Amino acid sequence: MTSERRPSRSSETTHRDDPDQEWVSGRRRFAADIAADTSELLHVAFVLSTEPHARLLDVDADAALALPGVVAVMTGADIGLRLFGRSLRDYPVLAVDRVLFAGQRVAAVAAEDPETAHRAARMVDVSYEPLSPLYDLEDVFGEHDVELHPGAQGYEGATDDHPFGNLQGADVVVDGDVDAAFAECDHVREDTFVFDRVHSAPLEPHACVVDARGEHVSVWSSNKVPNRLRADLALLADRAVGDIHVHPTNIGGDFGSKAAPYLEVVCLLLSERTQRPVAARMTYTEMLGTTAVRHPGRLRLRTGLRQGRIHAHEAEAILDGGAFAAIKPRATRVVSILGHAYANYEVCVRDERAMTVYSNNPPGGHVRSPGEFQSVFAGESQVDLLARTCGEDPIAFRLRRTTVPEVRGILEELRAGVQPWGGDGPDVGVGVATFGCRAGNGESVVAARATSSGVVLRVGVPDQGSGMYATFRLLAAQALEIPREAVHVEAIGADETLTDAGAGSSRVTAVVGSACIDACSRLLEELGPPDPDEGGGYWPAARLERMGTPEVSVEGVGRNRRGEAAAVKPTYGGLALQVTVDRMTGQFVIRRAMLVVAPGRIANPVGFRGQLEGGFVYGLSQAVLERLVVEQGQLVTASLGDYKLACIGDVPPLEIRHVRVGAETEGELRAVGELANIGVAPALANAIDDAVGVRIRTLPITGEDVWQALRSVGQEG
Amino acid sequence: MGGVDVDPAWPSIALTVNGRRHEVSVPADRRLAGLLRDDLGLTGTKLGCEVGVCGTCTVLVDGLPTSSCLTLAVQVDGASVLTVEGLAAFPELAELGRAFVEEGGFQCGFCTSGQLVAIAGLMLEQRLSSMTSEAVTEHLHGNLCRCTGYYGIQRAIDRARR
Amino acid sequence: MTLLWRRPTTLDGAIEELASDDAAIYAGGVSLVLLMNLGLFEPATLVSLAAVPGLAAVTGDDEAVDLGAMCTHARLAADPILRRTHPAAADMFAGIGNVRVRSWGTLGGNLAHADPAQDPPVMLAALHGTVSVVGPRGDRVIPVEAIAEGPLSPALDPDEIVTSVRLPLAEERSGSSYLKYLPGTKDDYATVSIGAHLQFDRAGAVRQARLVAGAVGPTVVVLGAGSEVLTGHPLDPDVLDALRVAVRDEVNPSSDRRGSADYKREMAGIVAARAASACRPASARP
Repeated sequence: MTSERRPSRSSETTHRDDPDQEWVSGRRRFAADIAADTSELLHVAFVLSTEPHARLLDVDADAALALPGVVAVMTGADIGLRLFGRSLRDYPVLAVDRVLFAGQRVAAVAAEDPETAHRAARMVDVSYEPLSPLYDLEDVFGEHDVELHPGAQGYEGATDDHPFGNLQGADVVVDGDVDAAFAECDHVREDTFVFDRVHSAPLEPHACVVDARGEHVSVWSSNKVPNRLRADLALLADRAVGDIHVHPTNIGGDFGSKAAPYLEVVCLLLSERTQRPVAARMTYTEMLGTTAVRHPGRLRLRTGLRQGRIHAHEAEAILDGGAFAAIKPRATRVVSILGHAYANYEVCVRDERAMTVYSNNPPGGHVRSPGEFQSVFAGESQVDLLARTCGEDPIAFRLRRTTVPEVRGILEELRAGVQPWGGDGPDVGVGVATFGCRAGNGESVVAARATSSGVVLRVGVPDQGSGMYATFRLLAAQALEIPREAVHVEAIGADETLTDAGAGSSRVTAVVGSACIDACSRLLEELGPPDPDEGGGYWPAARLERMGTPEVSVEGVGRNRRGEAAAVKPTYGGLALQVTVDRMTGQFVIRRAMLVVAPGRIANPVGFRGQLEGGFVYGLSQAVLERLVVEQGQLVTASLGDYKLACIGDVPPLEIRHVRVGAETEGELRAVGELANIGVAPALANAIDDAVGVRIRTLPITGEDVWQALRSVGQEG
Repeated sequence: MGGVDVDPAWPSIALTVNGRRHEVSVPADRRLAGLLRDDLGLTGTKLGCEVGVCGTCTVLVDGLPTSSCLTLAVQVDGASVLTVEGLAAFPELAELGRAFVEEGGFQCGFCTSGQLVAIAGLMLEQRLSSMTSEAVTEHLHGNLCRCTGYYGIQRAIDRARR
Repeated sequence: MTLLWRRPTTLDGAIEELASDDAAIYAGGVSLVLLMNLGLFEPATLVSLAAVPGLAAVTGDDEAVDLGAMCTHARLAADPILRRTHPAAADMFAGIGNVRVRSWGTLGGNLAHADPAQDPPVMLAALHGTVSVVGPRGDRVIPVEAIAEGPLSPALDPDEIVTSVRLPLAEERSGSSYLKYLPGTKDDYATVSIGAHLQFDRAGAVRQARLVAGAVGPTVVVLGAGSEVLTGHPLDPDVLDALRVAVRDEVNPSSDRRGSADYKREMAGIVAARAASACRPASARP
């Protein structure tokens, strides 16, 4: 890569984490800020399908091309079928023959300024021939002959087990003969839980800058997996991987939405064609309509007790995967929804099955705890219902049946914590839930270099906004016994020299953090034991001088493989909420919350607390406010004016407590990013039941739901 | 310059941004956010929802909290604009930035400019310490944060109030 | 299409500029630029009222207070005259949208936006407010509740300009309130809102009542039946319950993401009863 290929006034190819000032001075730069600094730039706006399911007859761009300032229009017909996807490549970067959801990208316009690009995009005249749509699960399983992906067997990543046409994927966890086990139960209950579509909704819209003039390509993108982005760009734009440089770029929040090359491939092709650098930034409507949504669907749980023990458990999940499976990383094409209900309790026999189906809705993806949010809601709600049936206190019921020492400690802490809350008047209730978070699989390599002025950690993972670089600095400072200021984190973007699985599935602290610790211990092997008295705090400077070498470089590895003995241990949590309910309106107010966690090693106290607090409110927002409304395939809640997120006035007082269970686990890094959010919905449903005796089995939980439930039992005010 | 529009499609405006005077001609539909980011290179002001809800584009115009995504550049002809880049000129705001760092007032940092400008507006008018905490919270209803859950922001404000 | 910016310095000049095709009045810009950002509105000419004198004042006499159309919500929330004469209205202005909306959003722009979920038309209609409008075919005065024909459809010609809103001073022994029902986030439009203005007799019975509902129909709804239920009675629980039922049966909301039609109808009744009971006459006024 040569400097003249880069846009002028561009950012450095690497950036050093400036711990204090960059964040609060406006100098922290994101992908769209790179664009604002690039000269000769063209701006790209996409033409999105207005039809949920249609044959694409014609894309007429004449009027758009005639608009002054418009430089190029690109259509699917121009570039042919180019499919992306994580485990299944079924999603075209631009639609070719058909569109499968309203919002699918059909064409792209490059213009001198963004206003002109968007105006021209509205002038592109697309002719559709509408086809029969599948809007919901009832449609999918009803009488019809609609097959949304007739060529599914030909997709890269396709598997042979394809029992019916509109199946995206299936997942099964079976451990014994559940029918026989149910026959042995003395009490069985069955509940169906229904959850609506919500969006990951980071505040930064997905954006990129691509400069493909000449033989090298420079990319700045808010994509959170730079190595895969690079490989995708090479494959889909017919370039050599080595010609593509994905620069490290800060990400303004992800929560699952920034893992696919929605914009970058087309931008690369447009940059090649126009020989100009090009930039695209999604409008927020585009964010909501085209990037990761949590799968809506339903989960039926049937659970049997035998002599008070949880003897049989059956789960059946049916999820609406939307028009494409591409955004999901798992080979099953089902989000991780099985195995989380009743995960913390002893269950004799399990039989859990899940499937995802295609529909003409926005594609489902991974939103913070992609299936745990739904399944822990269902599981911890049903645990409460079982406790009530048995006439047992919900905390005591859980304590008696948990097999996890951490969960026992958490429940005891919660019981002590909520005791002073009790007896607070009519229509006040307390609910609890317990949950866990497991780090995702992955491997990362971190290169560490000790020089006379400090230690530099080179990492491949982009900072998607969780404060992870500060954590790496603290870990290295602790391991090496040097001041935090002497550690610098250098982001390298995509690079074949350093393995990195990217950000996601709560793996970064545990996997990349472990790689940092490993690298530091290798540095110590080279440098010898630390001596903070040597050289006034930063002792490696004097040590290197004595060794007669300017620097020492090593690499450290961190990995997680679930199921292996060395796998990262789960983090456990418990949440208690106190609510008051207005019986006349159904409106409920969360008066206070207590979150108890068994954290393992806390590498970065500020970051750790932030993940818990932020996770709690993220969960609260999705449990009570958020609903991405799609009617007849059309996005209704198309802006943050209609898709409401929790604001500062919506958050209740939150107390966080830590419990330590077993000293031997304290030194281990664990995952925490997808922990706190999953407990809010079940704790809330349980608290509402405790307050006014009605059970909500749908998400989000609204005042209207409570009012309806009260009215149906004649208990409204 | 007010009132003397030479070209109604491309009006000339004069404004002060972070203490510096600018005289520019802009397309009439240029948003203030676009003027700041693309024409003046002040990219600390972010664009998020573009419907005035999220607050990432918050700047002060003559001291008033303003969604720069919903404001035309030509509308602020003659005004004085303060963006996040201009906050460093006020020593009384230094503690606010420190408090954001130490209390976990941000994670990804995308909303931070808007949060800081919104709070700085109160501090520069010397209203922050005399307002009730409910009133401060109400002032920030329109500055969304998706990462912190707002608790770190609250703690930072509490420190700045003292 | 290139957007043109006009900044007339007189009301007549503004009316003249508005004669051109696809011209729109530019007041604070908040609602208008929002629609432009969403691609829902593409005006050819914007006519700014910022340089037209006399549109941003609050004046009072012994019969009424006049609120200039270019007054921002923040300006009205803090106005000492309005705060004294109509404190419930000042509180309503203080609770609109967020602080940035209040900084720039104007009274005239808000009313001309004709959104039935906005706060000002509900409260100001309850206070018997009237709107002064000027245009090439002459001036006219219309009740606040008549300024909208439907959602985003003002009962104004494109070249007509709202200049002020006149609120008669409150009668003796009267009280007002404005309640927004926000079951979700605090940063939202109301699921239903009620503006109430009640006048009481010496015995404490309601002499005259005016209740107006927002967000439960294509325009704000003056609750005739609801008001009638209260007249002649003290605000005791039976009367308030009768009010709840009357209002519930009087409104005709449609379902949206803030609630089903059924729920909004029930909530309108409950919120109306709560708003009415909040209308105790201010002791400061004899």
